[in-house]
Amino acid sequence: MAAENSFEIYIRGVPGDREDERRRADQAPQSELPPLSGEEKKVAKKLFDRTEEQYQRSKLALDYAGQRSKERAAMLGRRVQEILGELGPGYRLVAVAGGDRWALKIQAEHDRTASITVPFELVDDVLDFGASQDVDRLKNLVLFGVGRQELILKH
Amino acid sequence: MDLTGRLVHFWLSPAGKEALNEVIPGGADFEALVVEENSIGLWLWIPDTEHESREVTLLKWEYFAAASLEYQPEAPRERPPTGFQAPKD
Repeated sequence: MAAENSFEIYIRGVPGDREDERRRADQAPQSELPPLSGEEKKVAKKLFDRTEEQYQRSKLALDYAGQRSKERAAMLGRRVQEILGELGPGYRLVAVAGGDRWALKIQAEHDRTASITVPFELVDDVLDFGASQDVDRLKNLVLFGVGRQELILKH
Repeated sequence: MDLTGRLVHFWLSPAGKEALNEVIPGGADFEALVVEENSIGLWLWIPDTEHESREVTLLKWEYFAAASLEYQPEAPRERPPTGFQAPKD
């Protein structure tokens, strides 16, 4: 079971599903398929001309995609907490939000709240490959965001 | 190459030198942190002597002639195997 995070996670909109998630949803047993509301049943037939089961499997693939986004938000948050930990006790990650790009909300010193946006590609590089130069790029954005830019040239 | 989050050394184009004369006095080249990039150009934090400024400056794409940065190609970290096993003969 994953450890509970000390920060909030928000995913705006519906993240796109990937091929592997569609395949996994296609192979899921009936018992795992999400229920459909009356409205969804109508939409499935009228707008998409799909059977209820096909629509359920599409919905399940999107659920998988949403879960993946939340897991990546948690991973990103833990990375950012590591960076903030190096700055001392005056900084706290409040929230990670995903949507058209990643956003961080950080409680900084003097009761200041910093909002930092991080490009998708950078987050992918940090989480999937973890090359030190990409971790440094994330660190630079966080340092600038929380007003500790004097440290940017030192690491 | 994505520049956001990188410290980059820029050399201004002649048009950039003219346009940014007041923002970057006397400097045909300077170092800056790329805070964000979009279709117009790059939003830069240009360190001052005290490093206290938080002002960011837009550098349009056409306003710089060259840029250099420290780049280290790195091998991706080892990731756990997917579980696939080659069939035995």
